[in-house]
Amino acid sequence: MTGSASGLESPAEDLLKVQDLLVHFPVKVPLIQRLISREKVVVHAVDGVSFSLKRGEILGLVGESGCGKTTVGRTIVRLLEPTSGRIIFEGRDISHLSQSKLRPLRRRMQIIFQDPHASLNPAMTIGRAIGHPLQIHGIVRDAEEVRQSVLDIMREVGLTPEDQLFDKYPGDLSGGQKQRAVIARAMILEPRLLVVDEGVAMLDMSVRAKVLELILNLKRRHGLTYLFITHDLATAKFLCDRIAIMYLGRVVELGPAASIYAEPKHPYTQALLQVIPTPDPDKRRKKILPRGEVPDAIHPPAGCRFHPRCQSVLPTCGWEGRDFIDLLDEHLSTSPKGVEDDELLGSIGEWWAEGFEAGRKTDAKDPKKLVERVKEILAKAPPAMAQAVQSVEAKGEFVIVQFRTPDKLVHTAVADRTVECLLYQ
Amino acid sequence: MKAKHSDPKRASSLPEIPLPFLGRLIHPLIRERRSLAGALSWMGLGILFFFIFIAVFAPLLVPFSQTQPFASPVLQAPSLQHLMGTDNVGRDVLSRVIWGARTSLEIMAIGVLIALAVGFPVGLLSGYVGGKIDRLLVLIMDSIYAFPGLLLAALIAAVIGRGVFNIGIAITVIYIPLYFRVTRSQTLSVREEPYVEAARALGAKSHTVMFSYIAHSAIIAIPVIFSLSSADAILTAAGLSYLGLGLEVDTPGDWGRDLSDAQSFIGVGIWWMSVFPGLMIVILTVGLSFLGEGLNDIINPILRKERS
Ligand SMILES: Nc1ncnc2c1ncn2[C@@H]1O[C@H](COP(=O)(O)OP(=O)(O)OP(=O)(O)O)[C@@H](O)[C@H]1O
Ligand SMILES: [Mg+2]
Repeated sequence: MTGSASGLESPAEDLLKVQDLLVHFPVKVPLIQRLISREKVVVHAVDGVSFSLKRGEILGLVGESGCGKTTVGRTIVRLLEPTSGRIIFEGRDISHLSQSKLRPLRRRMQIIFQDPHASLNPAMTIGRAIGHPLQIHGIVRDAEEVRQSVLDIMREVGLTPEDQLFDKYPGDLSGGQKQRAVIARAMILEPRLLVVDEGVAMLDMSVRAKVLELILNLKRRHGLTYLFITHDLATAKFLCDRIAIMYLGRVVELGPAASIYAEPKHPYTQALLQVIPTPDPDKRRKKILPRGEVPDAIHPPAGCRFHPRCQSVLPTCGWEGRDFIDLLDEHLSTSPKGVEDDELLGSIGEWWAEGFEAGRKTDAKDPKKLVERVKEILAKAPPAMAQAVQSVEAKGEFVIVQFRTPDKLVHTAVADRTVECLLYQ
Repeated sequence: MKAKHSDPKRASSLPEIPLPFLGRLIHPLIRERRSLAGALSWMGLGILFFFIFIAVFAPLLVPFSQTQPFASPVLQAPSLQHLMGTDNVGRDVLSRVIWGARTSLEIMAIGVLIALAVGFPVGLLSGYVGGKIDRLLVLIMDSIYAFPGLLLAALIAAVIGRGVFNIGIAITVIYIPLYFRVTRSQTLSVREEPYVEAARALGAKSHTVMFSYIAHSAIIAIPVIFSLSSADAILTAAGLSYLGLGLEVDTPGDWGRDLSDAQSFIGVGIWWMSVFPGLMIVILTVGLSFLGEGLNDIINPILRKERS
């Protein structure tokens, strides 16, 4: 269990509290494979996330694609049920409430999705779509009253001329207008918490600023609390009071936006922040995060999930068998192959990795030679990885590379924030 | 802040597709009228409305309201008095053909409308709730679907008896699985749309989600199925009558039975008894098939565009 230092605020002030949230999605596995291995295959979309939201603040949830931001957002408004952990909204645990019990609560927590076009029913007029929540919750029954409320909220979100747009279909509106309509539809219920998932990502730059301004205005006027999900650091900096940086299902750093931008602590945050000025997203990744893709969330790396890509990595960060396989793969594909290497190391497919071990069955009469070769390769590896190797041994017909067990990660309070990194423990 | 049309160009270039049901269908029909699909649809619609007109005004149109046997001389060739001749028991063929349009359309309407009324909501429910209920319904529907239609209808007709309504019911059973399948697969593809999840996030109950947010998308595929199953229903009804399982003997018009009665007279050169009812069956089914195929070609691109 991770100590949630982010839960330090007094509970009376917290509109929302998330504790050790876990959301795992089962992966469809072919029957045969299921019979062979009993292991349950799941995507660790969210894997131990804790934070809290004070009334009236904007918390940014920032991270690369696929790190689980949307899943956190959808789980908080209980479109998904958490695998474990707790979601406490207005002091009430809603983690496993039934949909019918949640329904009245939905008036006070709303979510806005990334794609405004897809979020609107193509066969419903804008006016009807915005007014529908009032009817769903039986708040206003009189048609004329609904119309008035809709026109009011349309004016408030800048969806004007409201009486003309009222009878239009989503297809007739621009992207910015559609997002305003979606915001209006959520706001008509007068929610306390608004989760905004990439709310401006699909809009043109010129429209984006205006919608962000609208989001700030609404907060001021209605005392809204936002969870603002984005992969765009510039947007987060502009908008958020505090920021949580997510990586592969975990929050690695959380604190006031200003100080995180001024002085990022976690190596991942540092890497992300160096990225801001470059406009081309592909270039960024290659430049700053040199080694590899984001690992898959089905088998997240041991220890710190960022360790295979981290520039400040330590020997204790969680080096494991498959990191050795990756190293070997790189070695085999980049260095000119000697005949000897071919024979000794074999193809990459002959190696296995399990937990902190990697190994290969050898038919060579002298496995010592392989052991020596592996040691040579490890010597050229990043020092942290080389130091993490406990032993390279021949055991019978196997050669086994054994890594040390990693140190335990905990959320640590560093200055005004919490960081999950061994550098600060 | 109070931007009017942030991007008027894009707004106006978007097609006016997502209108409610009929608008979504009629606009493309008008737009596409010069294409092959459009022309086929309009031709089919024309034929259908022609027959509906005949069926509705049958009592006014028939030259001989008397359809009892031996009202006229038997086996008269077409003449000015009997435009389509008379049959072996002295009934005016034209009058029988006109009444036949009414019975055929009645059976078709009963059969297809009930199939729609059952198949559509059940398909919607099955696709939306999924799980065990869905699997069970699919199993039932697939077994019905696997049965040869005419045989199934004949079996049911043999059990529940003759008459327009009973034949309509017998035919319904064949087409329920068709409406079920189409609606279910549409529902499955719409169910995961963000606007459906958005509706749940707003607090909508399942039935609201189904009827206000999914049904409109599922229903767009129905006109095609409606036309094609109607064509098939006409043929099936005629087939049942031909086999002698259809309507009561004193029905004023029954294309299938007339065709069957005329069979033994073709060899001796009495063609008018069989050609006219046969022609009606062919024209109506071909018209409905044109309509179905035409609509299919028009609707599919719309569906694709809405998905993207
Ligand atoms: N319903 C689902 N079933 C299975 N896996 C899922 C499901 N939803 C999300 N995932 C997986 O969970 C992980 C996190 O997804 P999520 O959408 O939360 O990421 P994200 O941070 O929002 O990414 P993006 O920036 O691309 O929106 C991904 O690996 C994704 O493939
Ligand atoms: Mg997302």
